[in-house]
Amino acid sequence: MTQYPPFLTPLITQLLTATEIEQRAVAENFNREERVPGTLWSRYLRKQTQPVRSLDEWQDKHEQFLEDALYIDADDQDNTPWTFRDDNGGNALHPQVSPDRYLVRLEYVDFFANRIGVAQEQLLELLQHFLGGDAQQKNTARIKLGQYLRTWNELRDQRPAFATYLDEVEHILREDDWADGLREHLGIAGPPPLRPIPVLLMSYRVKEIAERPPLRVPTVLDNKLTPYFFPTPKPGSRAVCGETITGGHTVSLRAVPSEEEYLYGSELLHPKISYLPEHVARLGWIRRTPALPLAQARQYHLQHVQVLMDRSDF
Amino acid sequence: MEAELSAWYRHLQQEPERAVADLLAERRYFAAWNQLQPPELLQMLAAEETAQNFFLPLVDQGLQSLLHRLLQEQDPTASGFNHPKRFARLLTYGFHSSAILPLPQTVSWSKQAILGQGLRRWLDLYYFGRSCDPLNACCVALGRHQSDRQLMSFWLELASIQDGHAHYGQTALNNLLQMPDPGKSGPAGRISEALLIGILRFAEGLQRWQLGSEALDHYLEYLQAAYPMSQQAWQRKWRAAVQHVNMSDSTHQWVARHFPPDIFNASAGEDGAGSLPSRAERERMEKRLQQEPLADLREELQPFFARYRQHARTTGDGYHLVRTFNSCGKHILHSDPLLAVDLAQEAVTWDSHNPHSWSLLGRALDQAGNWQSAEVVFWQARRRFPYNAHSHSQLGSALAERGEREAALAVLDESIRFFPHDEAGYTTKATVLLQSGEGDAAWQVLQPIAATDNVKTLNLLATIQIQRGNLDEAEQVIGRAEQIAPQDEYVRKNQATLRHARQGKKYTPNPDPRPTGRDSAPAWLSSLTGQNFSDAPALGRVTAFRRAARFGAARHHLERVRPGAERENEQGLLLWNERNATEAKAYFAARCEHFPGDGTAQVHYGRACRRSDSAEEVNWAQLQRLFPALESIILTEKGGGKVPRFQLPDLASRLASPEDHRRGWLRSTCEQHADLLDQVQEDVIAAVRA
Repeated sequence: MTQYPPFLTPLITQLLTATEIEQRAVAENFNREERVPGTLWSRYLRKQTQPVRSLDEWQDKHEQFLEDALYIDADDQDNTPWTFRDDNGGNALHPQVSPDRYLVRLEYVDFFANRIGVAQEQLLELLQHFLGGDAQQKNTARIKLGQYLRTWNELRDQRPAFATYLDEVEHILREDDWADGLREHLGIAGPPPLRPIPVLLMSYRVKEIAERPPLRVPTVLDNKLTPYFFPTPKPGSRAVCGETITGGHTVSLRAVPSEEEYLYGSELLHPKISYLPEHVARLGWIRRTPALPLAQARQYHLQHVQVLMDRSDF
Repeated sequence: MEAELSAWYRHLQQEPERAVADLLAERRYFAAWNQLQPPELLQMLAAEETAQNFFLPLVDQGLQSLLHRLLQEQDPTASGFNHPKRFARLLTYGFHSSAILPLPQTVSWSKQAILGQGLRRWLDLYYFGRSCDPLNACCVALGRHQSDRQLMSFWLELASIQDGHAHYGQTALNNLLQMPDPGKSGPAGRISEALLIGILRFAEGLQRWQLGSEALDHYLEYLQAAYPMSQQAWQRKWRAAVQHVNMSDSTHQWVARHFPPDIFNASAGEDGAGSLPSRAERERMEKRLQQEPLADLREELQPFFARYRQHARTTGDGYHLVRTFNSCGKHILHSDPLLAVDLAQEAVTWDSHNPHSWSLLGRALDQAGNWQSAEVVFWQARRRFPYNAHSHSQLGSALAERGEREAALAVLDESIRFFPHDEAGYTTKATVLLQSGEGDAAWQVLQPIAATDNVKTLNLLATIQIQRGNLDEAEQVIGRAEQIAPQDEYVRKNQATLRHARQGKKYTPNPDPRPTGRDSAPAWLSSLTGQNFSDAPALGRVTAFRRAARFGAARHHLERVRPGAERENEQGLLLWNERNATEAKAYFAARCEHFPGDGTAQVHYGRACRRSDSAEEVNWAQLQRLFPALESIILTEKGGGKVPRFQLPDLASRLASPEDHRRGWLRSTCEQHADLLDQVQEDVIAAVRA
């Protein structure tokens, strides 16, 4: 049953038959989403008085929603992103994740350097010293990196952060091309790289985010419009996972010989973490276009999710 | 390439400005690229081989033209940007993009606009916290593309955290670190004296706003790691820097905590910035300027002034330049007013918070025959330094000389109310009345200070009594003046006038007003503080007439103010005075909805709520966090109109900041005259943005 606001119906109906997967997927995601609470749907596009006419218009309205609901300044202690508010408690992970469990996420070096006003080459050199230099280089780099991260922490807002469990991706991290592998496993969107793109693997324990941070299953309203996301259904009565919800499921773009070998990853949302140099675990490079085409990945994904969650109707 | 990107490229070729606006505002869906934020999307697209020739020039053209138009329009809703925070993010993304991509047209425009077109104050209106802060993004971009030292004094001012936001100070320090050496164009990559002076000012700012020293400790630790030097080398650098900054005890302690205290024992000759003239040399030159013809001194003056300029440009410390140029400027006002204008202009550029420099600049421009500019300077000085009695009386006097009797009286009445112990307000007002033949009224004005020992005031009293025909009383006053200053020139003049009056000759008032001329303000005037304040006379008249309940005149002048935040907020205050606080509250509420980053509107809204006994709750804590520069007003409002006892330094010392002066004035004036609270608050709020 669709839950999104009626002003979206004509556009979504139209996009569901689009030939371009990047357009169709966005509509499919909203069509399948069943985890967004009703109180939040009522806020989405609330000022709309006419049907949304195009994908660009939808993009505009969606960003407006995110600006109000998620992009909350760090100093604004009166507000919290909707993701972590009580009315989204239905998407909390169950049972609670151990505070000592490690999470990982990827950060683009470009993005980090750009926001703090440092040249990328300068930051890369610093990271290389921090991760692979001699003792003296490491020590100096730690102090400089600490200053850069403090600045970056201050400039970032409270939008929820996507992460996955370290223990689930350790096999990928053992590969030489781990950055490409992890990017594909996590289904991180992006165009074919025109040049190698440096990324940082950030690693931290749950308790380093906060004492008992709220962790949530992502929905279509937790992020920008993206075809690389796939909503997580509510489990059916005979779901493999039972009542355990350890997160949503990433659309894996890793090459697999057949549908049976398709393997998605976990994804969860947590509140903003203040990074420390110790959280910078690795520097890697994204060099290749994801191996599995998006349309095929989404097809595999759907079938696996239906089985896992005992939801053939999803 | 996806269809979405191709379509946007076509749009970029046809309408660069709109295409760039759409991308930065995230109003277009970019399929696989949609997860990227706009600056990184542009960066990704710029990596294409053909980008340098086709793509980047178009983006540069579009972005520069967009920023220029938005600044001119002032109101983004005119361009369809109805969501203030998203608009702020568009600006932030725009400046981020200009930081990371080669967009020379945009960077060059930003630099000029921040120096002289009010870009800084306009960007202030769109501050939504550190994560969405166009001003900081703009400064980061300008810092990364510096090819000269033109922005040094701007960075130094930013480093001193005048508005209470410490992160601007940190950005300024980073930019001082990247500033090229004198005569070079690339980043310096070394610890300059200007940077160390910036750090000391940053330290002072942190102390002033009670922001703790953690940020400072971290920054110093970072510098020592990034620029490893021996302890001795650091000592030498600090030793040179501390000579140029007057420090509070706490900053002194902080420096001493990090380095051995002997850095304060500087020996002569360690200053690598070129030696300054000694105090004796300076005093000798000032004396000669008073006594000798200027023509005899010109050859010596140029190298004398050049030594101050060199010192200031190298170190970033303009204190000595400002003091010397102000004092020398006064002595050459009549002999070479254009040189006095130059000196005053430089003094204001180096320290735009010094009311003496503004006063000299106004007088020098007036003396040089440029009344239009002088008038702008006088009104702006009144707006920037409401706590400085001289700025009021000097403006009143200048207006009276130009025959603007009503405006002059409005200004002077206020001056007397604000500064009841300052005789200049009374004497200037009495002079205005005397010149229009209202001797009785002039005498009445001077009654509160009639027991004065000030010879100038006594001379005026005597003149008034002669004009009124009270010759015996005039003789008595002249006698008092003669006892105090037997050689005073005006005492002699009054004695002569009295003798003539006794012989039956009538007192003649001064000649007709001086001509106002039709010259226009020079372009450099607007770059003195980084904003175009050519509206200062119109704005000032609106305020003066509004408070004098001459609403028609106030409205007439309001029409002459350019559209923008100042005009809109003044409109709200006019509504308040003419109607009531309830209507003003509704007006400011609407304004706050469109411009939540406008601290002035937010605080006026809160003030109006309290005065209209409104049930609306004002989140003062949030306003205090967002607009620390308005903290003194916010705390007063939170306290129900009671001005808190601020901890202030000695206001006569060099360490006192403009904010200290504003707080001191707010406290002292309202303690004695609670009925002036509204007007003083309005003036303090206006001064923060002036």
